[in-house]
Amino acid sequence: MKKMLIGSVLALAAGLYAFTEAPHTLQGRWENVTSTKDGTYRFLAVFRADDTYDGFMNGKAFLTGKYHFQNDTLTLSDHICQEGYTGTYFVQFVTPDSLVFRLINDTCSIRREGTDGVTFKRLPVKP
Amino acid sequence: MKKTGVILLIGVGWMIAAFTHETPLPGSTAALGRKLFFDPILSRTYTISCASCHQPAHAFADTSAVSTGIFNRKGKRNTPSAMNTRLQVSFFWDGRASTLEEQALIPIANPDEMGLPVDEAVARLQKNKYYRTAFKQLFHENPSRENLAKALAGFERTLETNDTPFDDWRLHENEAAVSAAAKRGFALFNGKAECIKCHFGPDFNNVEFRSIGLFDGKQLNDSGRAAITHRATDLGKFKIGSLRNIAQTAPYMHNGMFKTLAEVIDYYNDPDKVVPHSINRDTLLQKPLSLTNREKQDLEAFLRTLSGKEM
Ligand code: HEC
Ligand code: HEC
Repeated sequence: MKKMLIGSVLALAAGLYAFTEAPHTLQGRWENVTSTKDGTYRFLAVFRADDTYDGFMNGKAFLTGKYHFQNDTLTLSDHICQEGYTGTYFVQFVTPDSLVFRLINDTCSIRREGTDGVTFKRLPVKP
Repeated sequence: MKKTGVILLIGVGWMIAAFTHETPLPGSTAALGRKLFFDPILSRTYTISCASCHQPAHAFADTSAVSTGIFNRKGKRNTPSAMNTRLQVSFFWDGRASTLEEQALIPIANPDEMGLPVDEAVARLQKNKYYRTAFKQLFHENPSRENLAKALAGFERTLETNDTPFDDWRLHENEAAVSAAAKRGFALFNGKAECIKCHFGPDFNNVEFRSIGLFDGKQLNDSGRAAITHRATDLGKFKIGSLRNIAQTAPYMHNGMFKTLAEVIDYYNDPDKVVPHSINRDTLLQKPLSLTNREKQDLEAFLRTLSGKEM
């Protein structure tokens, strides 16, 4: 009985903590949409629970890698940039569902150009 | 006498039918571009259209090593796919055109391809009632070089392939979309085989010109990018081939020298075996890859997952 009580108090506390201090989560689907005179470019980034991520341009898969996200700091590594060359970004959440990546440091210029300062919006989870 | 009368009448009947049966006008620039792409009116002899070489059944490429134009003239290079051009920044194997619009008019005037000066092509379109009306409706002006290029490019921009088993696997996490062999092949592509060092991006072709070693100054004498930049360091460099729909676009490379994907992979595995005295080959391809037979098959299985559903 006592155990149960402690258990539920703990659960409640955890629930409250989650409610007030909810750490931002990167897991999910994020999209950047850019429109030019030649049409619309949709860049989709999918961050998975298993610390892998993929990038898609207009529905074309083109990027797979591993990431680590902690305390608003994101570390990326993929096959296009040399393995071992990781990039580190500060993830600025504008709202829980929109964010901007800010460069901390990245030795891979292609990734830097495609990431630094880019804004993403979270896509709703598919039904 | 009677016979000619009948023939005449049939002729008149046909003419009436031909002129009253209206082909519906295209509703968009892309639809107009599509019609032009398939219309031999843009070639000197009225026999060759863009689609003679860029054939829909072969992902808008063709099946011969080098292309065949008017009067059966052989071109110098292999026909690349005209699909998946929307995200690209240069066109032709040597990148001599930087927009689709710029590219589109070049084959019309090329004597080995359609052989018709562009101004004459435009004059033909202006004289043609159907095209005159269609261009007026869509561009509010008569056919011109600019709007002809816009229409062709507009059509080409619709030819995107993003529904391949590979995309399905990555985007929808559909593990059943590709085979275990293809998954192993993808890992090789990214790892041991080092293909991704050059073939990356949505169409797996980066934006660079590189030399895989198909230039030796003798039998293989297309200098590629160097003819445009006049730099010795660009000798034998070509636009990195897109890999989307690659299974449909054999033969391969700027000169169509490899008939199958297996031949392509064998080449990369040990370039010196095929082209022993190449000039300026990329340092990435210095050492043989030492792929096993099974690894070669896996790599090919991966490349085969890059074709769209309609292929
Ligand atoms: C006789 C065959 C032939 C015809 C006809 C032809 N092409 Fe091509 N096309 C080629 C060849 C060969 C190349 C590559 C030439 C080179 O790199 O120098 C090419 C290249 C291209 C490319 C560049 C693709 C890339 O990835 O760089 C596009 C786009 C294209 N053609 C569109 C067209 C259009 C539009 C027409 C009609 C107006 C047309 N072609 C007519 C053979 C042909
Ligand atoms: C050094 C950069 C580089 C590397 C590494 C590389 N490629 Fe290529 N690839 C190219 C270039 C450049 C071309 C066009 C070459 C030409 O036509 O001379 C090409 C062409 C191709 C083509 C033919 C495209 C077409 O439309 O004809 C295929 C298929 C291909 N590569 C597959 C691979 C595979 C598989 C690997 C890994 C084993 C690989 N490539 C590694 C640069 C590279």
